[in-house]
Amino acid sequence: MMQDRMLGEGIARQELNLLFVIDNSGSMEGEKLGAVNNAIRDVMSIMPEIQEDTSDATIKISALKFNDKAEWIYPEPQGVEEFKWRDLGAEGGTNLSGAYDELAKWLSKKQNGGQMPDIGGVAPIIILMTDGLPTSYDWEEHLNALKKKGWFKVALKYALAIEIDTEEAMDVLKKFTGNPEMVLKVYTAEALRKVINVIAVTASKVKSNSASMGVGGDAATNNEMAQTEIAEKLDEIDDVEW
Amino acid sequence: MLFNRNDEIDLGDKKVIIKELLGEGGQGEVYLVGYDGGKYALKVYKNEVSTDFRYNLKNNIEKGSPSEHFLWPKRLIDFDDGRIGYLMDVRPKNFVSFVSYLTGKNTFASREIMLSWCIDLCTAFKKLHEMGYSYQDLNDGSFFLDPDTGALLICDNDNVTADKKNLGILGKMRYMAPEIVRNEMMPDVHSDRFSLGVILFMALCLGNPYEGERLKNYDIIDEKAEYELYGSNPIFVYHKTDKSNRPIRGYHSSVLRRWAYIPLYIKEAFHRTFVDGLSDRENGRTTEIEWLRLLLRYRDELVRCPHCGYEFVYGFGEKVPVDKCPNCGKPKKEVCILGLGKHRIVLDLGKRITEAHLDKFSAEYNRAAAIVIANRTTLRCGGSN
Repeated sequence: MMQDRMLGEGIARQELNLLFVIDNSGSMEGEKLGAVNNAIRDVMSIMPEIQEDTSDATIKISALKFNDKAEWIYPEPQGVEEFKWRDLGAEGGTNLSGAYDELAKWLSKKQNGGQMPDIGGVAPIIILMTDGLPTSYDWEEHLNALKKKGWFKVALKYALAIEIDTEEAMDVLKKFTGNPEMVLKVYTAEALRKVINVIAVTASKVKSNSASMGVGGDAATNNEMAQTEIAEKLDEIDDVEW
Repeated sequence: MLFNRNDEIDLGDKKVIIKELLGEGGQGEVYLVGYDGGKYALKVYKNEVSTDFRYNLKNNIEKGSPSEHFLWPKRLIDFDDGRIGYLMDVRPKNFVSFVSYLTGKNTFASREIMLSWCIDLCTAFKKLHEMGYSYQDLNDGSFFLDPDTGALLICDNDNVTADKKNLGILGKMRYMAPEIVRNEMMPDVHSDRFSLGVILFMALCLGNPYEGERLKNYDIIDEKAEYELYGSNPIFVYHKTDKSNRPIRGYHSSVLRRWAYIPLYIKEAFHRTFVDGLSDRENGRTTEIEWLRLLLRYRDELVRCPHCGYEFVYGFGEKVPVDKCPNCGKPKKEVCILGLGKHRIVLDLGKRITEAHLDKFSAEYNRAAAIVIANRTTLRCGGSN
């Protein structure tokens, strides 16, 4: 019997971008970066299932590492099956300004030289993870430039403060997310692994579906829904504070 | 996870034994369990549900499944901590998700089988509505299919309620009737009917009926964009006069390719639902019984190209006569036509004749009463038409 179409031909889908921004400066060496490497691997093993459950959106993944300079792991966002993680090593300083510049370039439509879809993109998810103060002192200027990007404004942004205890370093991250509730202090490698997993997986699951509505009409946005679900799950993890 | 492997739940008369976690959603978790000597699926709600929700679920279990197409809740379970759950059958392995069909990972064995699935879908909705229920939270994740037989299975039936009642979930905007997106009404048979049209359009055309050029108006598809696209100002991509939202070339390729070969009467039925049905929700939307007749007619007039195997319509109702295969361009083969009352059945190999062909009051559109097992194309036919 002949099939009713060629396999692979499918429905046009919106595009959901998930971005990891990872500090791999020297101080991340050891347990911290080990936990990040493990966590991203965990996330990637679950992503195909999340993708399989929806025909509303295609999930695309990008990862940016930064130390003395910032560099994308892949030259363009990858599908859940294509994105293969290679463990990061640690060295150098914490050039957050460079990372913000790269993010700003990435968060434009393809037709404008960036990596976001020209048609039918949904608000991205950005997870920043770092363990200390930036060594680039002009980070705030670069953040202000990044904040002008529409894709950045609408993104669901989380920042993970890995064993950070100074207010000054926390402020850097609060300015990134624009919301102190989206900055999570993580104290152990195990907690870090779990937190990355919960945020990446839950946010992708919620946001890869068309917006849901409940009775009452004023439906929560997909970002808010993801936030609520993430908060519920974070409650179950020890050694996290927000 | 709420339960671990080998946990036992004592129901008094019988025990439920947890085997593995099958899945997790926003609402709850689903486990594979042992119960009453067999395997079942157990859904447990993470949070306490309202009394209304529990009452509705209990009521649905007592009333029973509308048809064999539903993976219907079978037994309600009240846990000591106030949570509830229910047992249902396990989805057999031969079923794959409708999502995987839409994304191109799976496909039906033939167009004829795909249409049989669509016919089953309409039958299932008809039976559901006849029992006074409406499905409510209707989306791509609820449906499953057997690619070889076209059998249908509908899951997530815990939101099924009596017409015009709602227990909190309205659904995904992309699949909802506009008046529900705009929060003007509660879901009912008529909004279900609209969503049925969306699912049929997706099955036949691999696209959403309201996603076209207008997507370009939005930098980002967020709730506001979805509200406009599906709620406040939906424009059917093949609207006869308003051409502002046509599928985008190079982006909606599947829709563009497939719509071209859909018979006229199916196009009209979509147009009715997606254009007239916007303002006239009660009479503008193609009903299940109308869909059944039209889809049966579509399946009846399918003919397979002897050269490339492509299935296309014989062309009884088309403005332009179909004389060659739209895929390879070679001439259409001569086939006997069987006339049965209003039906005209192209007697190609494997074509089924059902009870619905023979008896206009029959609801049996899929089970074959007779099947064409040989077809000598050289034979001169003396059909009744």
